[in-house]
Amino acid sequence: MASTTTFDPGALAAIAAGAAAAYPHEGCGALLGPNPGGGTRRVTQTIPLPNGETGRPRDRFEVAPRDYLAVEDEADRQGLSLLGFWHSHPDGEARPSTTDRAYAWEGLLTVIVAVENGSPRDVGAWEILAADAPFTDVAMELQGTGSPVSSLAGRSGA
Amino acid sequence: MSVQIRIPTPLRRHTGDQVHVEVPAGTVGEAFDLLFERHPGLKPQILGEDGRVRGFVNVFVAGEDIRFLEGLKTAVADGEQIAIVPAIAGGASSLSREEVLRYSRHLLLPEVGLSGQEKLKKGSVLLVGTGGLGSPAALYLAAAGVGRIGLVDFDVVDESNLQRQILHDTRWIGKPKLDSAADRLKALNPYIEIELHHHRLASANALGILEGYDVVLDGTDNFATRYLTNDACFFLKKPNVYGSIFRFEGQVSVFWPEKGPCYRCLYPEPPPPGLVPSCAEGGVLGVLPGVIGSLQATEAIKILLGVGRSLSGRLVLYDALDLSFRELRLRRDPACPLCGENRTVTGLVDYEEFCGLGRGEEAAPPGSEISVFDLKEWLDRGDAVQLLDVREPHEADICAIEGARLIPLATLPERLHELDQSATIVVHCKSGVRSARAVHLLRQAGLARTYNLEGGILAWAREIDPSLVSY
Repeated sequence: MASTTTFDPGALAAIAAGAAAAYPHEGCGALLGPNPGGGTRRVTQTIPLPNGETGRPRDRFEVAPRDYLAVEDEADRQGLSLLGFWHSHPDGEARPSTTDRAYAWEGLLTVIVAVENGSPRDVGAWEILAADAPFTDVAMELQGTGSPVSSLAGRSGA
Repeated sequence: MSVQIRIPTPLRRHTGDQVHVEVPAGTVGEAFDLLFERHPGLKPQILGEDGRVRGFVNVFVAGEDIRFLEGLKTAVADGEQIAIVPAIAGGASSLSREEVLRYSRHLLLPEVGLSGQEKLKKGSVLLVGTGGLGSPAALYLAAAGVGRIGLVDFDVVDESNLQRQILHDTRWIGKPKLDSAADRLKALNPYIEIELHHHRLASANALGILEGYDVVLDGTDNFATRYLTNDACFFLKKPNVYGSIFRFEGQVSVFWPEKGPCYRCLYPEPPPPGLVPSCAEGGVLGVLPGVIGSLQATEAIKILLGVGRSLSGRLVLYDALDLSFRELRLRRDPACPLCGENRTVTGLVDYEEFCGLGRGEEAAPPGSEISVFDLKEWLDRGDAVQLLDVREPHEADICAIEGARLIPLATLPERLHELDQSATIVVHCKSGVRSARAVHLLRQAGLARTYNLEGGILAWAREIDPSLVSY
């Protein structure tokens, strides 16, 4: 039974723009939204973050601890919750790798967008329901219409 | 004394959604002990089994990571905050969906898994030779998904190869082995790269060719190239997966610089030329290199994966007639001139010379030398000239003068009867040194009309027939 998360169009556009801008490196950012309080998560805002991985940013990403604290503070300031993080796979697949799973946290959504030759394409979302459980799919829907979201092509609004 | 612990979002489920927890403590460790007493669910998230902070968690005090302070013993002042920050990271897999399906039988093995398969894809192996040993090795390395496979060979496919060189087939007879290999390997696995080196491995190019690969697999058929490969691997610090075959017996080992012995520790000197026949002369059971080459591929894959116990320091001996395996312990030789304590071999040398294929500077008897122009003139005139090539078979494979009869120098004394005693004999070798000795020998045996081709086949290739491959 896959859970669902809705995304505001502006948030999707910001993810697409961030992923495209970071290409050919992996891009990343934080996902914010109202506290779900047990209901459906809704991502209303994303904050792009620098990729703190200096060694191999083409196939690794890292959020610097300082940046983590800053986005959590920002979420608190706005009365929102930190819902998770997105990152991109340049010229790769929108599918979590073993590394992605190793760093996953219960309670934080993982969104991955594939970027082909600088253009955002497929996007997917996952979560883990227990510390040692594998990723489970999360259905992405557009806030308002409820239509499924599986690609960010054409969404960067550039 | 009271400190505040900041709980990050994903861990708030264990504190009843509390963001800040106040505890009386003087160090981070003390604070955590109290924290875990109140909220036991937090402990396995933050500390590992060894009682240390997990790698996936960062702990900051006054803006500094406690890893760079005193760890859990870091002191905290009254009113200070301890911030727990989860590590947020990840990365792409280099395998596509199709590759994940293709390698599923590997992914199921705990010793391989997705991370192991990714290592294979990022890894590279250079095969010296695509013949008997190289054929099975290349096939299994390609099937395993080694990301980049380099092949060195300058030979063309001959029908007699197909008794054992299963990488090739009848469609490729007469065509370059590398082209045949590329075609077959790409058909087997289109997700990997095949790099072709249409060269004969030599001192001038060995370091440049081998440098770009993680592992070298020695599939050569002659001693000069074995020593060259060994020495080059030592200087480049690459593991050299060795295999050799002879009739019904095979050997396999790994020569890993700095970890174990090298080929010279095992065989400090090559055998005298002509003593150990090649496959073409001594014969070989076709399936024998299939076994040895597959064992070599196994070792290369294990090296890339970093699993199992390598054959470094061990020599496996296989007897096909017995179907038995024996193992010998090999040790680094402290007196080895390449990897031992007093290293006299500090660069690549002339390996033909080292293997005795060019030793001795005996001057040719006066009046016994002819130039390549003389020989050309005689042949064009239709003179009855018997051309004798005293090089080794693998050299004749590289280049030969049409009409020459090959009798390697070491075997010449017992094969004199094969020569036409009444004809004019012109002897040649690579550069004119061995042939000078042969002329000595023949004239002493009473064959007076014997001449040495000055400059050897190298001179012939330079002046008369540039289509010949030089070496």
